[in-house]
Amino acid sequence: MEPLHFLLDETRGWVEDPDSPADSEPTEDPIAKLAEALNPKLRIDLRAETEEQVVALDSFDWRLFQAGLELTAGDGRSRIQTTSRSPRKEAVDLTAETEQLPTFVNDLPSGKLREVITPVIGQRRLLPMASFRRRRLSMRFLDLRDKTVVRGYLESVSIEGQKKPLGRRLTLIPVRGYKRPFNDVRKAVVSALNPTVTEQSVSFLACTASGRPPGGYTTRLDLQLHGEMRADLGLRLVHGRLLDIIEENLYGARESLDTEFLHDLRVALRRSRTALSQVRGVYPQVTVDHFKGELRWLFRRIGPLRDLDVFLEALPEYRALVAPDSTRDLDPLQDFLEARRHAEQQTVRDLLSGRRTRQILGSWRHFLDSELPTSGGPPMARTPLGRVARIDIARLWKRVLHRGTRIDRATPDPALHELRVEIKKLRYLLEFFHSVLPPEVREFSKSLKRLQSTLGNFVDTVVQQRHVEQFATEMAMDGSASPQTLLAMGQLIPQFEARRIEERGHFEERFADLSTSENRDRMDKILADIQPR
Amino acid sequence: MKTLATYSIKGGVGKTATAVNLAYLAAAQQGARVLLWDLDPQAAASYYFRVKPKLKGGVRKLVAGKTDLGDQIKGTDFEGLDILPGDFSYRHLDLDLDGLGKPEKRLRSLLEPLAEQYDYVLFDCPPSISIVSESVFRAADALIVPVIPTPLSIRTLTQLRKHLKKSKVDVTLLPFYCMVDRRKSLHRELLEQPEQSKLKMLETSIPYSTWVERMGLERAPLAEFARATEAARSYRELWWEIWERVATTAS
Ligand SMILES: Nc1ncnc2c1ncn2[C@@H]1O[C@H](COP(=O)(O)OP(=O)(O)O)[C@@H](O)[C@H]1O
Ligand SMILES: [Mg+2]
Repeated sequence: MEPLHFLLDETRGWVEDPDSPADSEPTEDPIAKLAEALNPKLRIDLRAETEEQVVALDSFDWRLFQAGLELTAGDGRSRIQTTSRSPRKEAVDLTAETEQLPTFVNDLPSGKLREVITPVIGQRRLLPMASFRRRRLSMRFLDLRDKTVVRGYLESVSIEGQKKPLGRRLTLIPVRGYKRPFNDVRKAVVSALNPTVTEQSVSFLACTASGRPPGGYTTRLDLQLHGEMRADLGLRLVHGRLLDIIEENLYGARESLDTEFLHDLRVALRRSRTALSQVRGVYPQVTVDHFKGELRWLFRRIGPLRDLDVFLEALPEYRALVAPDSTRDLDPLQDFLEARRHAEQQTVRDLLSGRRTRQILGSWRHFLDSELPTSGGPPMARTPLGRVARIDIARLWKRVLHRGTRIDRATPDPALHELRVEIKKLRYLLEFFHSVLPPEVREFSKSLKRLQSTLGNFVDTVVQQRHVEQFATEMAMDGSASPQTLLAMGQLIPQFEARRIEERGHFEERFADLSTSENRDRMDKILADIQPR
Repeated sequence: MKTLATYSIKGGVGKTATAVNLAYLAAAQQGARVLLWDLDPQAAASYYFRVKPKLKGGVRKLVAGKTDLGDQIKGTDFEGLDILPGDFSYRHLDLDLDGLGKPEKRLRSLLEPLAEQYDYVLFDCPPSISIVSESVFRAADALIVPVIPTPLSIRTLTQLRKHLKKSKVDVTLLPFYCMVDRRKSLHRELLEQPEQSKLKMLETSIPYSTWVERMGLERAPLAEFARATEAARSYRELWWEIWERVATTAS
């Protein structure tokens, strides 16, 4: 038998709008009511009452929650527990002393708790998802011979910054070997208190009530489109979802809570731009031109910060590439990058909270929510989405094949950059519209992804090499690098070269994998069949 | 899972009082998951925890594996502490075990399915040397042996040690003095004897205390109603000492 949890005040706000005016404290005493219902068979013995301030912590994308874990901190301790639907085989319930709220895994004392969390969280920041006060009244249910036959506790929770207490939750814990009295108490609770059974923890409910439902973050589009729907509606749904993602990440990116916020925001911008420019003839041309410019502007402004994030994240790895006695010589580079990142972060903060950004995103939302044209309009606006998707994918596929086949060992690097860009576009379109395309998309996308990652690694090393050269020049000019530092940075160049050559060596094979007759057949199927699955 | 037993050849030496208090302390103070197995037909341990001394189908079916042991376990008033109740049918346990193959290994194999559920299993044994106790010796990692400081009790401890050595049982012996009354010259003299160190007694001893006798009236472990007494404190220290000894040996 497992413990049972009941919500006693459902209508008073576990899920209700937390901003509605505060009610007076509930007057009815659930314990008294329950005692009455149990009389004379069982009586309730009230035990200690405790009160604590709790903060629920997780990464921005709920990695702990997704892994069936829940981290809370308060009163000098952190605690990790498995959740009700945990995929983990073994239940976990560990605590560790933490004087301050942990922000990164390394803030936790070494030990079991940290061991459980580290592989899940990695270097992601632990963000406070909800902050609440919990009062817990323990009780036991005694039979006529004063034997404890059921245990329980009543929790009242209030969220920081909300006027109204969130509600109360009653938990019954079975005592082994006393099934019948447990059922008696369960029945009495149900009939006397008319509660709702819940499997969710207090922490889960508090996060939800704070506007952050656990697991609520994903950058997947999860769109179920229909092949027969008009193309402009379908495209707006795609753009709308991407704009949601942009908005969800705005705050975290602005406050630099985790570098992933900015990254996800940037990717969503890039995808939005691809959907704008690569799905042709669906939106009015003036609209396309206007927002292409606006989104590009925003995208470019946040680029430098993202580049610094990427470089800083890779720095430990780069340190391992230089001769052991030069590792420390890279310290000034780290300082230089961090100082620069700090300055760039200010710029991005201003940018993202500024009027121009609000205006761009506001007018973009306004367009996406506006009426659809009933007649006339752009040529493809009212064409079935499946058909439009197919036409645009066909065009990109042809381009990828064309460019890819012309690349051989002698082709200069820029051709590979260009191919990478086209492949990204093709992948995005397949992602946006997979729900109106036949299932062959999945297998095809896998080969595409492999090729893309080879090209990605290739381009990244080129970019990183250029960055090192550029940083070295700047550091030499402003005098922040000694000759030793410059020499250590110089050691990286041949390493990048070697990697670049290696990745380029993989290209032919990967491209051959993509352009097999099998994949060509798949693509023919994808393009021929425009019926929804 | 560690398996412990309170054991003595003699009755009335404080085995049950010790088992009840130590099981409670392991669960309530340390947060361990503890099963107390009451092997005594008189079922005193079950009485202390207000659990009916009754096994469905009796002990014979239980040791023969015909009833599910897990179904017979009862939760006590204290979180983390469960009890397998005693039953009058335990008086025939010797015969029941004798009727089975490899009787002395029986208890150990019955415990196997519980290994994941409990951190400690503690047997409260009836006084005797019998098939039951042989079975306990082989199931237990350590025997906790209360010894009243009298020459006779000390001699039975020496006998027990010899017996275990002869029968090649691998079990740690943890004897301690109990019901110590410093007003009695006999107790004082014995405790101060130079021969003491040979007995390898635990450092902690439990004083004679009427509070321990009161447990029968309160039907609860000492710490629940007489936390601040010397006896309660001694049991706490005894548990820490045992815990340290047991934690450092492999299960
Ligand atoms: N330290 C003690 N001081 C006083 N009385 C004790 C003490 N330990 C046990 N007793 C009492 O002695 C009697 C026998 O104890 P018990 O634990 O039942 O022994 P056993 O289980 O070895 O037969 C009980 O009445 C118990 O209350
Ligand atoms: Mg006894």
